[in-house]
Amino acid sequence: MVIGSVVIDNIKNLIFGTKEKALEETKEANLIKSESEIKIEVKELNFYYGDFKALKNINLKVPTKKITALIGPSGCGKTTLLRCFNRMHDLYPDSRYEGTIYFNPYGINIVDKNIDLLDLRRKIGMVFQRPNPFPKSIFENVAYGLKVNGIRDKKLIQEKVEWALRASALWDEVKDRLKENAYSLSGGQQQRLCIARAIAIEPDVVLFDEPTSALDPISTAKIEELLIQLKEKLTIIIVTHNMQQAARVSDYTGFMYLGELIEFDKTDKIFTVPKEKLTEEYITGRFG
Amino acid sequence: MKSLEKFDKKKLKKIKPDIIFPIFGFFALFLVVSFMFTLVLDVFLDGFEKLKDPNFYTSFPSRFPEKAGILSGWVGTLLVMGGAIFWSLLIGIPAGIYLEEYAKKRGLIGKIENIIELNINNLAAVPAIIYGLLALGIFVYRFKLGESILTAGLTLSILMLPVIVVNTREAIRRIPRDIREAAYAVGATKWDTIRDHIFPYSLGGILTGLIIAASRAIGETAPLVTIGALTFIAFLPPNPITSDFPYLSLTKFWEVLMSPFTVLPIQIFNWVSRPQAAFQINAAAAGFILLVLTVFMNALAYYIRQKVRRKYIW
Repeated sequence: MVIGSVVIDNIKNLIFGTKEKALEETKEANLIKSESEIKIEVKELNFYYGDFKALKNINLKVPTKKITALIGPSGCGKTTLLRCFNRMHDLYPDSRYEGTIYFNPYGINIVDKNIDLLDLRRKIGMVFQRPNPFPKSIFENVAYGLKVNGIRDKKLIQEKVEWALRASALWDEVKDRLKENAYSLSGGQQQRLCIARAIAIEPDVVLFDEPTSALDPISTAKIEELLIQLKEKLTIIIVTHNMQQAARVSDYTGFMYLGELIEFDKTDKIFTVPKEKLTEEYITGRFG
Repeated sequence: MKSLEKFDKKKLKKIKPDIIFPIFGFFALFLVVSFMFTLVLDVFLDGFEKLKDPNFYTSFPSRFPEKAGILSGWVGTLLVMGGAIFWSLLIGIPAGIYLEEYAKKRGLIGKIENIIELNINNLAAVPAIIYGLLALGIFVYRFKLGESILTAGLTLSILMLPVIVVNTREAIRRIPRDIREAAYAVGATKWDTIRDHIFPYSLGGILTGLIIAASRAIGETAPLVTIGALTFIAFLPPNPITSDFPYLSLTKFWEVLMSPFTVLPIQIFNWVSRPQAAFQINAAAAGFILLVLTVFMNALAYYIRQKVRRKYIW
């Protein structure tokens, strides 16, 4: 009997103990423990194009030095949300923000009208959907961010350009042709050049707006590998159309639909046990 | 079988315009080209005698057709065009950049900007003589700049301005949005973006517009007659270039700007209106030179456009 009860207890522990642990893990996933691990915190964000409300009450915590993916069907507002982080919307008339986006550790509200946009964009870089190098030399492309941010020391510029090109896995391919026009590179190389351009000024965060949608599978794989390497140094937010890509590269995933953030969780949770029905339907390909 | 017949009939009907239109189009094209060709050839043959005479290019106009040349004409044309190009670029490019990059399109200022924008397109259609009258009123009478090379340059620059503004704007609009955004995304200011990207990438289009405007302005006669260009002039403006530093005498340069002038089209008009047949040869020869200048400028515009296109493939 005694032995029997011990066995039962063990079995109980085995079952319930692990279950409790699993529950704890889920909690950890939902709430990132300390404030220092949160790079960007979005609170009650609404965004309007003229009268059209494109983002509705977004709440989101972007963890530091992790890859956060935003997925959702076309027109769900994921790119719109991404472009709020570096205030790209301000280049065009009739855009309006409501709510707050805290940017740690600077303690500033990104959507505050009075913040210094140049400084913000220096700290939050961006890589675009289509490779968009400047029609200048490879070197000048990477050095451009440094130059407009007031770095004049030629030696320093050279060092940083080399560092950025190495970090974006392009150095070996272009080190002998830095003076050539960036348009002589292939599409995938151009996109890595754009990544080099974005990271040369050592931002805290880099935003990727569907960075591989114009690229072939091999170039895409290279960029994904690069993203995983880069997260050691920076926080990455990536918008992607491709769910497999989100599953492959990201640590956290947010699912957006019609301007709302439906669900935000660890990527493996979103793709295995989504809480919302809508997320599940999208993940399993029933719409979108 | 029946349906097949129907089908064939329809096909036949469709083929007809496919034959007729290209034939018509070819003749239309042929007509245009033959007009052009006849004009050039006729002027060339008529003026050939004078064109091969080197004295024609180095002599002043004269009462004697065999002695008369186009020296004051081509020097005047070059100086006036130089001035016109300078002023129209100085004013046209910033105006175009402002409208494209800074204009707000909202509020009171936006409304004013909209009115200006609409009118710039209309300005290109205003007859040249109206600009001549405007220049006469403003530059000659109001600012007392005289019937000078400076006035002529300013007058033609007003004529060229709308074309340059419109072309500048179009060249800027051709720059893709994401190139601009890429610059802003690394922390560039608006001025950085204009200086490093917008202006250099649109320069090809701007220059093409400039040359097209200039090749039209070079043949303008009416506005220059209105502001008092001379039809007979037997001296050149002073040479402002000196042998010692700073190689340019400012007082002499001012004298150049203020000197009276004539231009090739006026010279041609002057010769054509003379009764002597010999002057007609001079007119044809000068006309050919003017044509060559225009063709040269258009070729230059084409060259620049091709070169820029190869450099910036968006």
